[in-house]
Amino acid sequence: MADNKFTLLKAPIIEAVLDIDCDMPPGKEISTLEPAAHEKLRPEYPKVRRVFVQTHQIETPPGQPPKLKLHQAVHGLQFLSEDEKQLVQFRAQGFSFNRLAHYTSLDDYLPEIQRTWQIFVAVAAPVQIRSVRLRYINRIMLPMPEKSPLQLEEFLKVCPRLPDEGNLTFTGFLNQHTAMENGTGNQVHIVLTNQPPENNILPLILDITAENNALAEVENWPCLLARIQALRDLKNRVFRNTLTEKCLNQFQQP
Amino acid sequence: MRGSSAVSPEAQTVRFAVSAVVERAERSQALFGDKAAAISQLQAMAIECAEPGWDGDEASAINPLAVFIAENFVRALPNFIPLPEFAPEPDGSISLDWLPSRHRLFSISVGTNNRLAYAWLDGADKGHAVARFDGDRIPQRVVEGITSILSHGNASVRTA
Amino acid sequence: MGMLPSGLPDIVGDDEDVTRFLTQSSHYNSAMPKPAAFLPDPKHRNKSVFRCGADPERIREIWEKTTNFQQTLKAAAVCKTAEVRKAGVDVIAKEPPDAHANIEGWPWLDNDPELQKAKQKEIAAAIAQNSALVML
Repeated sequence: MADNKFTLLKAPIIEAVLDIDCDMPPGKEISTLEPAAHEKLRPEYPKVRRVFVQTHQIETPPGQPPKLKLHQAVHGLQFLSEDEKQLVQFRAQGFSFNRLAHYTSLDDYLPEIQRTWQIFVAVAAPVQIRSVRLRYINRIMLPMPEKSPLQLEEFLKVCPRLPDEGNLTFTGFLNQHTAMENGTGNQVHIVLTNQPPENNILPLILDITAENNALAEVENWPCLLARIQALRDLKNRVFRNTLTEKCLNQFQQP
Repeated sequence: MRGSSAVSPEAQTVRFAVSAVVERAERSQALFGDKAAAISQLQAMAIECAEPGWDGDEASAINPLAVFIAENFVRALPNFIPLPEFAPEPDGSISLDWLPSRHRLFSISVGTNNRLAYAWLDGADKGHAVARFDGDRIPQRVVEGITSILSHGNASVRTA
Repeated sequence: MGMLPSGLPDIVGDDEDVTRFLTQSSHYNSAMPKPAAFLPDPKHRNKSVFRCGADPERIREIWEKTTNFQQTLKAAAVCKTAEVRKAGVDVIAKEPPDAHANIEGWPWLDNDPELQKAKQKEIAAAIAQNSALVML
């Protein structure tokens, strides 16, 4: 099956994020963009939030009560849909488009991604694109057998293993891989970890980020689109080759 | 500085899990001892210059965001590059200096955004430029600049 | 050429020493003053120096006349005015207080603060390179 035609009836996607990191014009504070940005985005994204970088400094002078100093700077603006399932972000380092569950298909969101990206270009005037990242966070619920340990290899082709498996049982894991795709230079970061079990279900987080770091012109949407689609294909390939057929079949059940 | 743009609780799960691994590594003297000491020095300097007028004149207080970015820069430094010396700047930025001799030096300013101003002296040659630091990787031209300055002469700075 | 109240000429000669008081130990190391010690004050757009030469007694004397004693004088950086001018900036006498001058003529780029800083750093590095460190 072609990677761009890979669809699941009930994809386990919790969040999909497209990040486009840019060189921003020098001397421009991201907070000053809020009025112009919200004017253009308000109909679909009525809610606004500011993202801060904060530092907390606690001084404990001898013989005196502790003093807390808080410093903060605006690091980004989030424009949210009414149901808060979709966000557009204007960040100090670029643009992001987030879609939370329920997620259908990237093709369904591309027109809106194009529209909001072009608003970002018009308002923030980025100088050039530095990198494009497509990140999919999946939450996969694995049924835990009642009387025996869960066999991860039944669900994962690329699976964490323990030394001395006869005497050790997993209580948690974090696997992280970074790889480069031959021929394209696209990179992929794969994180596999678990959340605490819930009622005999083990939630698995499979977090895949496909990334392209070539410089690009901000005005060239067809080039950017081609890049996004190539990253989507890479991400799909990694997803399909991480999970067994048994696991994938879960997502084809209505 | 490249914080995550994902907002879901599951993104938080991943962030905590990965941060725990980093934290464990940074507790290791072998893996991180020298950088930990350098970050402590940086923080001590920031506390000393935490109020306006720290220079007896009208210097701005060291900006905590500059400290945060400078710490990330130190963490991101490749192990083959010696750690810098730190100095406060009157606008609240932090200077990271490699000073192998009077005639060879490389100096970076870390302010409150991801653009780093830097200048170098190499005998009669000198120059200045700006480079972008994404929070994870030192810009290649900065790495090359520092290693070029350090490649000859007496290196009187600590090694990482 | 006129005279200032301090008795110094109103034009700072190329062969005069100008002295930067160093109150931060992080503004110098064992070998030299650091570039940060010479970066201009963004409010006044200059850098304050004194025309008191390299003699430690004279340096302390001028310091005690001008300080508010909230800082401790730890060292001094002394540079020939000619070297400051070679770096691309100027030394302009400005009294009171006695023997005070400013390093003026720094590059200011309001629309690109980082490039501005980079240019200033190159100049500050050139001055630091040619400055002697006097420990006090």
